[in-house]
Amino acid sequence: MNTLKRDEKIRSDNNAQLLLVAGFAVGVGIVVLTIMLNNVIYASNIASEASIDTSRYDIANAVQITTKSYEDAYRYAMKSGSFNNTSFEQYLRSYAELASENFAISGFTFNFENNSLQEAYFTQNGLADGTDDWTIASNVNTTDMFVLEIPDVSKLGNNSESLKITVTNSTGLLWSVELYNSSGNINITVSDHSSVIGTYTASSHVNITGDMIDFSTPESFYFNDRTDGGDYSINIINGSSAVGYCAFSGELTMNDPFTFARYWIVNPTIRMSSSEMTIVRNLPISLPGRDI
Amino acid sequence: MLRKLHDDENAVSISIGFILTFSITVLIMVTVLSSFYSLMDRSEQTVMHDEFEIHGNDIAVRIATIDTMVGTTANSGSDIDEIRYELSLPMKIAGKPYSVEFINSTKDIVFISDERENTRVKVPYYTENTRVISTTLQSTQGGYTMTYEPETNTITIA
Repeated sequence: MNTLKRDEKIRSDNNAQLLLVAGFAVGVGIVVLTIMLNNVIYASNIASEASIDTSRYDIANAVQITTKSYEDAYRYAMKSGSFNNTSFEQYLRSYAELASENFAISGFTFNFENNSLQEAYFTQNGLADGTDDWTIASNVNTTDMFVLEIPDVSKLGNNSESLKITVTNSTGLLWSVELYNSSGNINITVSDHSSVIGTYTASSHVNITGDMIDFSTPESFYFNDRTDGGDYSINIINGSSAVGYCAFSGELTMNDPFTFARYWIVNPTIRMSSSEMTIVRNLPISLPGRDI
Repeated sequence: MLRKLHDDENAVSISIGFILTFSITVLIMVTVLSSFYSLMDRSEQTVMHDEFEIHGNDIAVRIATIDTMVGTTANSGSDIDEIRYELSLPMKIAGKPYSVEFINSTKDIVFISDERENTRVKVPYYTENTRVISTTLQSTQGGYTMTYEPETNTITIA
């Protein structure tokens, strides 16, 4: 009788133990899952803090619109035929205000220090310390306008520091002009790939494509003759040896027009800053610049 | 006197049962907990690696941005007076301070947490127009700036 009772007790105890074990297993399972999930969430959340910096695009925009604005300001100031400095300054002031407001929206403070017109050197950026040897245009098919003016010949280098403009293609030199100061006059030497084809003297203005010196004296520079066939580059060599104006226009080999004209140079300083970056740079702009 | 094993219940006392159950439970708990700790440590290192890579890439992008701006500015004939970036790096990553080393010779940014070699992360950067001055930053310092020096054409991080 006693044995029977104990057997029943053990059997019922066994059932309870199973429940306990099951409960314990579920508990441990929940703890394991919680800790694992916690780790997964922690790791994936923390690793997504990278920031995207777009300031370079804002700066590029600022450079482009400032260049455009100077060119437009120059055009606006030249509306009456002669340069009106008041209109020029007024245009730039209103541009500065508008640009500051626009850049403020994207979190930038923008200001620029206006710079008055300066005489342009024949260097790449138009400044005295700019790159001396550079290319105005490549893959040129035809040149319709090629005009140089050196209003103050004292700012042109002498024989050893002459300004040279060359026209080259893949085979080498096609045509070149060399200008230097010779006793207050401009000495012009025109050469082709093999020899000198002419020497001339001018006081300020040289129209190569129009074959004219000082607006009225006809001369032959053989430019179209020697460059016929196209696909050439127009290069300036030793640009810092002269101060003056220049204008080039024509057509490229892809039938696109090209224009480069420089009468003046401005060199404003742009300052842009946001919460995390600051940039201060100057920006030499040719006036009237391209796209006239 | 020989007893049958089946009916021998002397060892199945309450105290022996308790001791056995308790020690088995403690053993299991210790094993489970220590394996969780090592799991957590590994995930901590994963987090560090990810974070270091993110911050390293962030810095490398900024170096590249400065370098590109310097290059394009020089090409267009302009001058740069100043470029300055404020770098915001956390004091601690996964609860540990760390150091950031800029090595100019190999062009690498090396992150390492608490001088533990297995948390070391190398992020390469590339410069064409400028040179980054080799230096080591400690995360506890806070408030870093990345400055371009036009005179020497270098990028200083301090």
